[in-house]
Amino acid sequence: MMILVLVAVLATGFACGRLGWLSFLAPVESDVVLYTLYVMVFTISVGLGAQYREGEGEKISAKALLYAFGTVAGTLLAAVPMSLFLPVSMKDAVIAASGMGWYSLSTGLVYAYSPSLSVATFVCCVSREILAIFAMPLLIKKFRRPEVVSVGGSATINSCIAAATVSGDNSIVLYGILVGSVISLFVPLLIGFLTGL
Amino acid sequence: MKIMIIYLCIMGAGIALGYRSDGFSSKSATRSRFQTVCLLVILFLLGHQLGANEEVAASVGTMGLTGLCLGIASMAGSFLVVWLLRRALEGPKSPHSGEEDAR
Repeated sequence: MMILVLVAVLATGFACGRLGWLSFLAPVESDVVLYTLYVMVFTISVGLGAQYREGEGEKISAKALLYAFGTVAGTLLAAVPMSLFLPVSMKDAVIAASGMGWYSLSTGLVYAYSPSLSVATFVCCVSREILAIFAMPLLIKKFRRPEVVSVGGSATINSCIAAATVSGDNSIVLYGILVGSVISLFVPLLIGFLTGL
Repeated sequence: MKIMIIYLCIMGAGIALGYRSDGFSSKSATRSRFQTVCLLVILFLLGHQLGANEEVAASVGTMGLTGLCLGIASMAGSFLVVWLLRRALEGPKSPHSGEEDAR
């Protein structure tokens, strides 16, 4: 439901832009987006720090950390050959895929680099989150948690709940949140690094 | 590179503050609501910027399809790499035969 609200807000903004409404916002929009992103990353990091202080952050093992790295590597590796078939360069394909499903942050970060690529980044992230909600409950019947959770990237909470509902294995939700948190750390760093190349 | 360093500093400061201070909870409803408002503001402004940009508006269909293809490929790539990694580390066990992968 939340994702529909977010898409509706984006579409409303898009329609206002097309119709020339609220054009007085234009001079400050980029700065407002950038500083709001800074604030969001800060508050998310505070929550992550608190999570570690409360003991939840320590539950992730070296093996799960390795699977998180594998998820990031798999995403980037898959984007490289896709650039051969899509109207984007290899670098742009990797940048768009680097959102890992975290559309709220990655779209804003990529916009400063290329407005049109930010559209691809948003759709890439939203489609990954939505498709994962349907794919994970099917995959959990045949495969194990690491590879199933990797499908969602950083956006694993909703899809893990769907998978837990089907499999009855509620621990996949905690596992997904922990691995998703690690993957989320890569998003601003990867996009920042790649857009600066 | 500069942006990556800025985000690294912001994340480091936030994690340190959350870890050090007892005043912050990982499940704060106020912070969650604040983040939702920030997200709505960002998405509206991004949508407004995109709509006002003729070049972007003209390429929405193409870039949307590109994003969809990249999203599906990302899912498949991540799945394949982690599946191979898990088989290399733990062997080809049946689903849910062990809990050790989570912790």
